Amino acid sequence: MSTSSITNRSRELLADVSPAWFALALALVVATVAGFAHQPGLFVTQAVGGLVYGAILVLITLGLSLILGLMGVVNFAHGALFMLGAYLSYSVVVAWGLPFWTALLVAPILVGVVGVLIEVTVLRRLYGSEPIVGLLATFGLTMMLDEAIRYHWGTTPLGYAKPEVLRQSVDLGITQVASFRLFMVAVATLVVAAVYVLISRTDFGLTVRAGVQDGEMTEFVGVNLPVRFTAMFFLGSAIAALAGVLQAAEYGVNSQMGQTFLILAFVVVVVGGVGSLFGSVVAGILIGEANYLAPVILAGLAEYTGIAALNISGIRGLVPYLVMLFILLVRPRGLFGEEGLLE
Amino acid sequence: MSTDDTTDAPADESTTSTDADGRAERSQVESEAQETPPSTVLQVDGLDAGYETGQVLFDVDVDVREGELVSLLGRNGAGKSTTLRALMGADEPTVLDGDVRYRGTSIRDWQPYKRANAGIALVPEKRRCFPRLSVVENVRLAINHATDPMALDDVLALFPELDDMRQKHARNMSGGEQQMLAIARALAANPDLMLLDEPFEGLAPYIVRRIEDIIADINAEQGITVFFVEQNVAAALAIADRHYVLDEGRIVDTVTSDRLREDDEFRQTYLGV
Repeated sequence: MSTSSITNRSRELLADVSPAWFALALALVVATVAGFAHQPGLFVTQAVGGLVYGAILVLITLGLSLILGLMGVVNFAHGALFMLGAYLSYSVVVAWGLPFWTALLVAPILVGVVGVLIEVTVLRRLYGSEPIVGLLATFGLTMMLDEAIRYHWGTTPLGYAKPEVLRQSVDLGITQVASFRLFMVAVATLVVAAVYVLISRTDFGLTVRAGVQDGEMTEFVGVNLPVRFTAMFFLGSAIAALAGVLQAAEYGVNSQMGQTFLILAFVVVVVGGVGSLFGSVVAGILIGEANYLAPVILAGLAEYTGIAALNISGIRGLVPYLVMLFILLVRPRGLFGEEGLLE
Repeated sequence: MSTDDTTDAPADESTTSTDADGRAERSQVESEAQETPPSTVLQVDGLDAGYETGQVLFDVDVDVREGELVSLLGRNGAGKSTTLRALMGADEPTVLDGDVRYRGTSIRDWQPYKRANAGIALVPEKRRCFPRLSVVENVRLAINHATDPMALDDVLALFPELDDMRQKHARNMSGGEQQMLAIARALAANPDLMLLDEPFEGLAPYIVRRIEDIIADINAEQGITVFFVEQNVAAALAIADRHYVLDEGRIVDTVTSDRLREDDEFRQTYLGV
């Protein structure tokens, strides 16, 4: 493609952008710059925090989105599996006295097996049913898992020491960042890359993509799809548990974390688009960053405009839903959702 | 065609268990085939099938022999697609009674993928190519899960139109191209029996002739037994040796092409042409 045709294409794209959108984008950029200029160190710290938060959301959402796209099941139990991973890592490190690295391996495998049991004993009977049936069944499973966790580990928040090698801070120039947080982002990046390769480059991925598009036809060409469903459930559950282990080591565990993150993961699925891996990644990071940066940006705007009312305390909890509302208004199928994927 | 050579199956790790299952199914079918006349590939005995809304097929008997090219003709709603779906073991329709035997073995309770692994391929109604997979991916999916598949290049060499658009997504292809892809996907598995559901539906006349040639070649040159359902009597007459006629869920007769061509009253009564 020649330079002139690229320029022409850019002009066409810009011509499609209405002035209102252009003004909004410009306002966001100006606000972000104001936030950075006001407190550069805090801004970077929050940006890294947003990235870490986004990475955890991405890991939880990967499994949720794949299971929803492939099997048409809205898996409410996914948050409980994330929480189970977190609590199991606590037991591995504190009760069993094993290293964190063992927990990082053992908890996802155990939770993956729990996921397989759920799929084989409950969900397999519900494929092809109305979505509400799967939703109610997994909601019931969530309550059972939540109560089992409370029964075994109690309701008091718990925590354990991170591995020695990841306790130091890394100097980013204008701020210090805990090395474990960078480790969390690195693990999430590796997992996303591995899932991408699995889905786009392997026969397993090909069958999964075909299964999402037309499950019955996939079986007609000779694919034992139920086995793939089970494998996908193992994978999704294990990745959620991995996110739980990372979350537990950095922020501790509590009996509410499953529900809190599940709701946010659904927001990420809606924003990114159902069944889109790329959408889950982009939306996870977007919501993570928006969540952490919104207070800093608003504080900066309040400082420079002199309007103190802009400095809204407690805006963080609202930000993911505002982003979802905005995306749904502009693009109802999500950022990268395929039209009619689940129709 | 060779059915005893299973050593050429793809060495893809993730398909090993399925391929092993497929080999077992195929050898089971082949060993049991020795007990029944070797000429019968597909035998449907007294098949009753239907949906929640009611029974659609009543006591359907079909017998397709090795190397035959047989059609199942009938009007809209006669139960043609229901018959093929029952033969492939789809969740719906529910088989109420009767049996489906493939090379002498009852496959009535087999899952669809086991039937495919045993050597039955389906070109379904409305093609059902995977819309967001490329031509190569659509074909490779069938190759990866067949017991004794063809090589990708060999399949595409038979369809020059598809060979020129290997990376194109099926959703961006014309109806005729999608029909060729659906046939190529079925052929890639190197099946013993190919089932086609209205392969000429909605296609331009010159594409119909191209598809007719492809199906006739699959039967004559590849030696694959073909059983297809169709409304287009002219197209069926052009390629099939024998025709079952289905009316309101019942087989009313099995006729030769000559009889179908000459008996205007029979054609008018059951097929409306």
